[in-house]
Amino acid sequence: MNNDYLWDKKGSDPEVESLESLLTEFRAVPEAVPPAAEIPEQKTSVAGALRMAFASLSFASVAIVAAGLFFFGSAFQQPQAVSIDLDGAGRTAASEIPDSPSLTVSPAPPVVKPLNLTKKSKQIVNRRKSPKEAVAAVPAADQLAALTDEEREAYEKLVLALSVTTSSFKLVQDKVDGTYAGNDAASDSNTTQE
Amino acid sequence: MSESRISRQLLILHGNDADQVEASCGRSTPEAALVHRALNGKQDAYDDLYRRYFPMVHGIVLARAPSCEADDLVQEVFIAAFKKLHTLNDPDAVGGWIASIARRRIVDSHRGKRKEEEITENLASPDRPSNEAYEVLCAIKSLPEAYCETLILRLVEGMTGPEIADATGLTHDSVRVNLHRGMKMLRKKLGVRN
Repeated sequence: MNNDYLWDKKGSDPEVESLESLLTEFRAVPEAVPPAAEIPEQKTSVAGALRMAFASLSFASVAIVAAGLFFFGSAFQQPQAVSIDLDGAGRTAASEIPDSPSLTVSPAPPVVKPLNLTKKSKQIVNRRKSPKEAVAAVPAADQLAALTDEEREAYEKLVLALSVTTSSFKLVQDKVDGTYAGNDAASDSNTTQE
Repeated sequence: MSESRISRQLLILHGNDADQVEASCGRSTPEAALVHRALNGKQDAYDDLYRRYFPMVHGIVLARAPSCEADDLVQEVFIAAFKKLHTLNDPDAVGGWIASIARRRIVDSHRGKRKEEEITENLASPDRPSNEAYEVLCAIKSLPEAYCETLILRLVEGMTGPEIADATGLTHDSVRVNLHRGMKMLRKKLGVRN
């Protein structure tokens, strides 16, 4: 056997040549290039999908926070309007109202007479707080107590929604950072419960 | 700035194709240049890649699949490779990369199929090769995978040892060993049969 012929077809080797001629029947000729060459596949990755989810959740949480600020902006203006109303009734200490502990035990609650608002006070009531003002106005305990049942329920729902969004947000952040240990934590808690 | 870099930039300024210049300056192999051109949307680069690696892919497919399915499988391999071309990290190793895609694709397509089906399909094929050629091919297919693939590339596709090494990414020594050991085993098998 001629090893050179088997390696690079130099010289001749009748045995290998006969095998070549016999097996040529199986040889194929290149046809047209597959059309898929014109359509390269787009890159998709887990990181990209996570980034999209992160962006969506961020947008949703920002929208919820904005809605919350909008709500508080109008909800916490009512006691302020009342102070002006009381002003019209002869009381002058409008700025004392928020500090006054007697607001909740007042025999005539401020929300009882909304129709007696003066033109000036109506303008103040209708004026909504800017987001910065609303953030600065953190609801104190007495302010929460001044809310009606309906308002309090709305407030609790909003806080719940914000907490759920925050936890989802943190989950996505952990996944993106690679520090997520959801299954481990779940199995640990199961073990603890057992 | 080095002399080679200046000359490269001068060539590009004089209207030469950037990829060809890179290839001619020794910084990039012709295979890598082809890959870059294909990724830049040049259809002729896809044609060149297809024609350059068609015999290798056909040989790999023929070593593992029935000959009647080889043409379809070759097309599928190239479609998959061209779609994923942007994921290729080392353009110099495009041959080995396409070869690995071909091997995986054949495994996927023949998962669960029995060997008996293969024989039946081959006998039922209207344009099947002569019995003698088919027997020799079966004898080659019964060899260990590495020998079988190399021998088919050499005897069926007509590639030389260096061409097989360059296309598949194997070393010259590996191809030489596979050819000689495979040929020795094939001779023994055919001698036993005769």
